[in-house]
Amino acid sequence: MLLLVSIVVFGMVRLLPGNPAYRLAGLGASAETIRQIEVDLGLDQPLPFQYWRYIQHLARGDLGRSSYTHQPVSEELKQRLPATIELLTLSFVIAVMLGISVGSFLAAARQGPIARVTERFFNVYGLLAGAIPEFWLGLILIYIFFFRLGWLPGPIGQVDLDVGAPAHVTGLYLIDALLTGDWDVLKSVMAHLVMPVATLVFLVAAPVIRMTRASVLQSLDSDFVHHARRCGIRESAIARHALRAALPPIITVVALLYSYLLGGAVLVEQVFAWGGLGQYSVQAVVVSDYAPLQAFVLLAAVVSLITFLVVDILYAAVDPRVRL
Amino acid sequence: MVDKDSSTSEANTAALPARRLVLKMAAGAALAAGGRKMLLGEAQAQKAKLKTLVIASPSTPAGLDRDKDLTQISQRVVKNVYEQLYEYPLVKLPNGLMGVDPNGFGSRFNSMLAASAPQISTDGRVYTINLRKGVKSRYGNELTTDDIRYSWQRSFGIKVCGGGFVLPLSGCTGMDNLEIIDKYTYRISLKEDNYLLSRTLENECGPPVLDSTEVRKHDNSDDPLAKQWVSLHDAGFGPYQVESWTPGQEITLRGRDDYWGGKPKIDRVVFKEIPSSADRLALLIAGQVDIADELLPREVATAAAQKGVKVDFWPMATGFDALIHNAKIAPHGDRRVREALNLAIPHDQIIEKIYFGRATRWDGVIPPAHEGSISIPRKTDLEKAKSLIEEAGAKGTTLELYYGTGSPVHEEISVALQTAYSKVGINLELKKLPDSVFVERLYKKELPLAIYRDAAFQPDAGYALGLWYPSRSFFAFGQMAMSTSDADKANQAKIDELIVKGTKTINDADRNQVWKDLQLLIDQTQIFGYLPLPGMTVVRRDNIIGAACYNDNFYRVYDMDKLTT
Repeated sequence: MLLLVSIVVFGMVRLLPGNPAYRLAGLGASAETIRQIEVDLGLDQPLPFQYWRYIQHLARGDLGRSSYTHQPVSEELKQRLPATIELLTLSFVIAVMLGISVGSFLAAARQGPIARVTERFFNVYGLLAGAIPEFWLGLILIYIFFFRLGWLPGPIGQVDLDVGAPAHVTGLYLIDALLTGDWDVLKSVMAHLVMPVATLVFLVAAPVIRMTRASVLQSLDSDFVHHARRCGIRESAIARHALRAALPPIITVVALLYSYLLGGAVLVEQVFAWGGLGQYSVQAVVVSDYAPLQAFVLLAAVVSLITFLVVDILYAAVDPRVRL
Repeated sequence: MVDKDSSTSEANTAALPARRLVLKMAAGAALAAGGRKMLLGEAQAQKAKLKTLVIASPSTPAGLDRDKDLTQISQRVVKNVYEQLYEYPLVKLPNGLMGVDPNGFGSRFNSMLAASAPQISTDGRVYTINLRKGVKSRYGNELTTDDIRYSWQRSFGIKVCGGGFVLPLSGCTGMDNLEIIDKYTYRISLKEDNYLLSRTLENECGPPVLDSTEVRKHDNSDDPLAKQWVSLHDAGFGPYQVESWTPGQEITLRGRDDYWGGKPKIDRVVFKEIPSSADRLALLIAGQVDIADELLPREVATAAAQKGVKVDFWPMATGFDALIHNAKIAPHGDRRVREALNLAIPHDQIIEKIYFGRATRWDGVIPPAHEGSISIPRKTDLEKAKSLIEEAGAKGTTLELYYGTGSPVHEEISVALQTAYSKVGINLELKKLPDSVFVERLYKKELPLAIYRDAAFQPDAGYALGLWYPSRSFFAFGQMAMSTSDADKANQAKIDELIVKGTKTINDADRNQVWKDLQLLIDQTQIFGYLPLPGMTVVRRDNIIGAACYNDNFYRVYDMDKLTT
């Protein structure tokens, strides 16, 4: 599968308009200079040969070198990956917890005026979450909470400049600040996480809420729940079983969200100057930097494949029918 | 070597097996309980004592090689790290700001890495230069003529900036123009007359003076000319050195205590990557950064109205925006169409509505910051433009105008042009291209009409004319030589001839006459549309003082200071 992905990625990146040699040479460069840069980058070779060389390097774990920053892509990924993982994982966990809790609550309290108002509120929220672009929401949050109210730090990256990064242990600032007991840094890192995480959570929690509500409602209306009630089983036990029966479609949505978050992070990182993989990929697109772009898309594909693998495993865990 | 502790250790850590990582985490936790906090506290206190300038920048540098890394941010950083032999002296300009003297370029230089002004032979073909003694790089190696020799060799090997066009334009085509006399003295000999060398000794795009002792250690078959190494490390003799660099986040420079000109007033400079210009503005207004680079004109106007923020504007700079007509694509081969489109440019509207007054009309064919430029007034004349379009039979024609995504202001100018051209009978379709595609297609002369921003860093008419207008130029006139119009071809031949003649004319008065004739001829061809000049702008907190405009349109941190508020 990954081999297929690598062919598609390689081909699609090469189909993009723009020759990096022209940009690297600058407008004043001679044709000879451009030719020399093409040779340096291997762009003068036929595409199949370029792909073969790419695959050979990939097999050795060599993702190539950025033609823009001149650094090995694998080094740059290592530098930038922790920032993105921290942002995505935190957003993911909060979005899923919030989504499942609110969705279950809406399904459980489906009658009564409060339930109706809450349901309408979340319907409107769902529409907004689907319609608002992430970069716009990020900018609005910055304008309100940083520029107008001054409650949160500005979009200057993961940590305040005068505080600086925590001593390196894992590369994840939150974890490192905790491990080293650097409370000033921890406070700063947490403050900087609020707006980008809120932006992503706002956008991705909506489908989890919708799916959880629909799935739990369906589950609560199923025969086994009616039967359990008539048998006098406690409501808490019924709810637990109903939620478990509702989980498979929720797991599917949640799993897809992680891949979606990786895409969403591209613009959110750009707005918050996060310095992670998303920002890196935007830069690669702008300057036609092939190697980082290939690496980013390949990484996204790997994340998706792992996600689907995890989904299959979870399916087997929550749905006994799969194991039959 | 550049201290890239953080990135290196991150990379090493990522390669560690899980078991070692766990041990490292445990060690980290143990440190928290021990003396680490005290050490961190001391380090932070030490850092807090340093005078730090924070610059919000659209990106971190692509690389630090002055010979080939040409992005704006790369140049902005390396100009504080590398130094040239000479520099134009700064003067107080009429607007009260510091800048290079627009009326006294000539060959008046401040000696920087050179010990004194060049000794020029009476025939103007031999330049003898003495290097300043005792100048050291961050690696402790003294500047000698061996550094000059290596820098030239490398520059001719790379053939992009110094060896690609600055030296050849100045009459130096190879190493045989260079002769080393002794450890501190060298000679440049020209085979034929070329006055430009007396100017380009200052040129920021000339061969950067590298610490050859250090760079040679990395110049090997794996990395010929140490291209990779020089891109990732600093090896200059300037006032700052790179302290740390995390691509995509920030690059920090540290003032050198042993800089020959004295320790910089600002100890540390942090170029912080903030991709969104709206964010850069917000951070500046909130006082979290000291300077916001590359704001849009509208944002500059907003900043100017804020308390605690100052906007410095130098109208006399070498940067420009030009409308480039491709004479080999109809109807741009018709001079009447080109003139009509140029006459319809709404100069005043662009200056007032798009630049909010921070731009000036480009009266000439090269910006007035270039010594030897002449004034050719520009005006908007829609009636004449309309009649020329009708005369050329182009009424109702649809034209395509191209610009790059990296220049939002060009989009606004394009919209203004679209409106103006509709009044003279031309429909304009706006085509926005990703920057890399835009540059490639412009280079290949595929774009019929395009807006492009650039600058000729040497404030000299001959340099600018020789860069933009000869037929070998990648720019507009390369296309005019291919025009279907015989008049265009004849004009191009005459232009080529005048450029060579002017460059070989040593006498100032005679040469200026050649440049005047040449500029008038270029104006007749109408191959460029001369859009308002954006000048140079620095948007800063009001406690940051001393910014000056150099001929390359970049400020130097060494001139600046940060007052305590």
